[in-house]
Amino acid sequence: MIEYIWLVPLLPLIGFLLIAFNFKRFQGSVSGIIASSAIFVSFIISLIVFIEIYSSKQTATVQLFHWIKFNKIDISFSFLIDQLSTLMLMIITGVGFLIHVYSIGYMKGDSGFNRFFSYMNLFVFFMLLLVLGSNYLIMFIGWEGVGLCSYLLIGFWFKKHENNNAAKKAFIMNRIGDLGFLLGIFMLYYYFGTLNFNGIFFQAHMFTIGNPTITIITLLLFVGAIGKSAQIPLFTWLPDAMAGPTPVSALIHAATMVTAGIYMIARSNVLFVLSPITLLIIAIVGITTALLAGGIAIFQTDIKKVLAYSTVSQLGFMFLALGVGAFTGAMFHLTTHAFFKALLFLAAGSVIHALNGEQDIRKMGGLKNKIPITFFTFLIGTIAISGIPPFSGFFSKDMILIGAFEANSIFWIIAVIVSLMTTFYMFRLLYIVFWKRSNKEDLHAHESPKNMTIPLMILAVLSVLAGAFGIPLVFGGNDIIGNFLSPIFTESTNIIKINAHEISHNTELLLMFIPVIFVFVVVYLAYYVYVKQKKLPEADNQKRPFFSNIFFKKLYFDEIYNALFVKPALWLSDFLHNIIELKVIDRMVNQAGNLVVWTGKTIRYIQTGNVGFYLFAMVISIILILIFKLFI
Amino acid sequence: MINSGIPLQYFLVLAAIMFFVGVYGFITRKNLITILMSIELILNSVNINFVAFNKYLYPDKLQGHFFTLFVIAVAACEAAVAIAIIINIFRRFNNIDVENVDEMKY
Amino acid sequence: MRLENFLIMRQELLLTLVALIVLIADLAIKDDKKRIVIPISIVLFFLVTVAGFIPASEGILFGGMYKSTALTILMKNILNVGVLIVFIQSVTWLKRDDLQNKISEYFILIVSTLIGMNFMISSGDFLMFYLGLETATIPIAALAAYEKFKAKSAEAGIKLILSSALSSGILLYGLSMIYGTTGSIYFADVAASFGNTPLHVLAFIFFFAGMAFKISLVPFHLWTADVYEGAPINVTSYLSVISKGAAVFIFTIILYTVFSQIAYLWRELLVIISLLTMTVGNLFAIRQQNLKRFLAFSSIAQAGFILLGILDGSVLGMTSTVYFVMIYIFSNLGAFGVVAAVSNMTNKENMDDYNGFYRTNPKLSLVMMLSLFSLAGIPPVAGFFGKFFLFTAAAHQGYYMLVLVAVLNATISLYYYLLLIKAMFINTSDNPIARINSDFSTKLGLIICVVGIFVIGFASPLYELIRSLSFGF
Repeated sequence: MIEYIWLVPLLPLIGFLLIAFNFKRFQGSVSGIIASSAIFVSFIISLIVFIEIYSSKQTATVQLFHWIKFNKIDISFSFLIDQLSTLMLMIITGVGFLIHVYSIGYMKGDSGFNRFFSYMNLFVFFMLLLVLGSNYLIMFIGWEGVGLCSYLLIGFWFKKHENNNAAKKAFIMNRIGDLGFLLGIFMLYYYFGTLNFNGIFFQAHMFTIGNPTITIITLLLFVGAIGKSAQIPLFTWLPDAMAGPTPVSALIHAATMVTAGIYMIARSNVLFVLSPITLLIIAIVGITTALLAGGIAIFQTDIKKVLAYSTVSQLGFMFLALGVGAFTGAMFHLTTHAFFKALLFLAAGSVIHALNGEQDIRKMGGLKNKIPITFFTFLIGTIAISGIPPFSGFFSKDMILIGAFEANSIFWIIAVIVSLMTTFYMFRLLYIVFWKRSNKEDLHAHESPKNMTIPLMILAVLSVLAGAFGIPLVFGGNDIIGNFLSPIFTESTNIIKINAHEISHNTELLLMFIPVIFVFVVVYLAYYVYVKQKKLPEADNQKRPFFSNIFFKKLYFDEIYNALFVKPALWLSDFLHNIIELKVIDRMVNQAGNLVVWTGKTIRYIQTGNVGFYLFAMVISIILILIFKLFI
Repeated sequence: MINSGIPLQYFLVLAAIMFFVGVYGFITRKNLITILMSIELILNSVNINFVAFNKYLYPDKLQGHFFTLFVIAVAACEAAVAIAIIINIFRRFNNIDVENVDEMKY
Repeated sequence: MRLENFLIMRQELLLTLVALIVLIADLAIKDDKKRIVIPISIVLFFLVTVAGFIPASEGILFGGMYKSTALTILMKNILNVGVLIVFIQSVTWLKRDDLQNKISEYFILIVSTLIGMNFMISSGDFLMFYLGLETATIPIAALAAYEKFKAKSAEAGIKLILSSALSSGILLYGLSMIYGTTGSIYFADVAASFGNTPLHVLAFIFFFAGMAFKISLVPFHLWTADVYEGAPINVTSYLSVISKGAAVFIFTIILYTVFSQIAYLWRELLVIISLLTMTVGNLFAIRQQNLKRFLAFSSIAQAGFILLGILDGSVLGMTSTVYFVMIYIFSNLGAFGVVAAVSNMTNKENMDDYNGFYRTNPKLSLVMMLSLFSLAGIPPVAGFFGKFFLFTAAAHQGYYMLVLVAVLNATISLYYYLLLIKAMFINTSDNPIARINSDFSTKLGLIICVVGIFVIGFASPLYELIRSLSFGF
């Protein structure tokens, strides 16, 4: 089946083209069904390929065609099928399929129904390209493509001005990251003479650990990852990206696209382990992002914003894992996170759907019995993300925590704090949204249709069970995911492990249980504050305590960026328009006029007489060039 | 080869002055016809240059002379097209001031 | 010299023949049937284009004034294909009633400029170069003023002819200095004795200014936007693509052959000019509402990118420049083709008019999007490869900072291209452009462009071919 792998990205592309060309003709849910079935067939093929790879432990490169070929450069359009890419395939097509099915219900009646599904299919196509590509160029094409789709989907409801701004912001921040990524690719090509993963990783052994070239390359690649995976300092676009439809937030801004940065670093692990400095920076950026975003999430009042900051925080967690060399942990958390965060977003979407578009949690409450399926699945997602055993989040977080502890116990402490923050804001959200408060009149709510609740249930099951793939050895598990991914990571982990101290089983058990105990304390704390005390977040305009205000205002990141970059840029373009275009050019003409007066003519000869001025400018520039060339 | 006592420099200076007078007139005059006359000054300064160089420095070949002939021919073409357009400008704008021909800007 | 030798310049001869046939045909055809000239001219020109691909011998004519190599033949073929697309795209416009008596004029003028360009590209001395340059420029002024009842058209014409007259005057003065100091106008002789004396530098810079005007490099670009806006749209696309492409070709050839001695001198000049051109072109493009002006500034910025390739000064530079121009022809003609189709039907040329364009004209907006992506250099369309090779060429000479700025500029350019894409796909409008039923010729022209945008990107042998031909320099 591996030789048919090209069908996997091709089907969503066909779906996209079908819908795009029958934009007007498709009525009702037709386009949704086409899009979903395209992804479903891709999923089936991916599943078969996955099983083949899993059982044979082989990897393969499927060459489609030679793309660019001249003297030294030879870039072929080929796919690399190995454990890492098939794992990503499963996530993208599997979760993607469920979200597509969900969207048929969620987007029903929207005037942009067909447009939505065409973009979604296009997105899946690019995402698959990104993970399947066997060289950095194809990866970059996918990388740019998903960015474009994300831009289009954030601004999906373009009638609202702020949505367009959010889309623009996401786009610009991503471009900053892309610039780094692109430069990294250029440097890779310059030093390795190829862009193929296999070729580069094979040659990477020639570099010693700590080689400055590798450090610069990996840092540039990491800048790309920062932009795409919303880390400090480029994370502010992700919360704003929630302006898009909720399924988009679930698929693109939680489960798949934002994890592209993680995937890219995991894919390039051979390079990254050669640069301890980069790894350290990754770990620090990751943990800082996780901490700050977790803090911000506690004070948000928009249901999707809370989840968005939670995503940023969890991504930071994954970067921490990458930084400490726990690549398997990062990929495992990526997988489980894809399940439970998609679940949480879709459940949140179901809540929003039930309340006819309301997103402010202060206006919610008491939904527990009105939309039971949504509540139940949301509860499972919350438990999973909080890291309560035996739900999946516990195992994946645990893998990261252990990795962090092996590297540096400070990382471990902060990571545990972040994990507790996660528990707190998730349960806060749960209690505020679903528990009844007496001071509120009953809300009108209705449970979502079947095609929305069934994906929720499937994802809930996955969120519970996915942990089984990573049951650590201490529990008598056999660490399926670790073994599965080991061909990719073993070499790198060995390099990292040289410095790390091995920890005993007892310590490991201890490290597991300390956080769990605290988690239960935090769950009760949240229960006490938000159910017993019925505390509700303050209204936007109300004065808050200093500390909470800072976090409510998202640490003023937007304001700082505004002052530092946006204002100057706008100012510059206004300056160019008003001053340079209108004043300086006009004035230059006036000055030239004075020159004319000085030579005995009158000013009006070249005043705004356009052709005259153009030629004048030409002559002046020739003189300037002459002066520059002859005398300087 | 007649050397009539006028050194080459004189020609070159004359040509340079003509050239810059032409350029100056080109960018300061507002009547399109006068601008067209300025371009003739520029082209003729080039012609003087070519002929003078040819005669004084490289008298055995005639490259400069031929170049001059072609420049004169091309200048005539240019003037013909330009005047045709200027006539049209006069019809559309009712005058031929370069200042008024600025419907499109910025 | 034997008669067969003239076959070396068969391109020019065939084009002259076409111009004459069209002229005579125009005289023979009755006034109410003038439209028959359109198919006649296009078919004839198509035949010439095809004939251009028949292998021909290289050679030298008129004692070295005219020089034909495999590379110049390729350049001429590229231009021919571009002109063919322009012709096909202009059919709808030419069928307008008020132009009925001037159809043949359009074809004759364009063909004669093309003859000029061909001579210019093949020139072996400065006289031939100058004649070609003027033959390629003067008729364009007439073309810009083609719609004689429009004030803007006349304004474009006068602006073009005045600017070009001054620039060629300055260029000529430079040429006279070159002649005076080297004693020859033949490229080979000049190259042999060209040095770094102030007079040489002066001569070179005057020459450079003249060429910079033709390629519309900043700060010699000021005429561009006005002329592009005022001229009829098909003439604009011709100006921005073919005329500029031909000028780039000869500019590269002369820099590489005649001025190779002072490469260090023009290289640093090109670096500065290319920075200026990219940046100014992009910054001014952001604020444009009129799409012709928008594309004008975008094409100025593109010229800045082309300089990145030129400044390499070796085979790599020549290859990437020619390759990029080829891609640029298809991409820009695609964009102009859509604007022309819309403008000819509805007279709408503003970006706001394109709000909601995708709803009414999905195919046209997809073509537009592809072309813009190619201009912006987004993979996998051809434009990406074009830019990629240009950047490689500049990096080859060690101009990493320049490449960095160029990448930044490419990003800025993507921003304003996306503005238009956003207008078409995302914005809505109460009064969108109605559905346009484009006729066969419009469709054909756009299809060729789209195919070109895709095929050139994926056909690496083309690059190899250009490379192998470029070794002649």
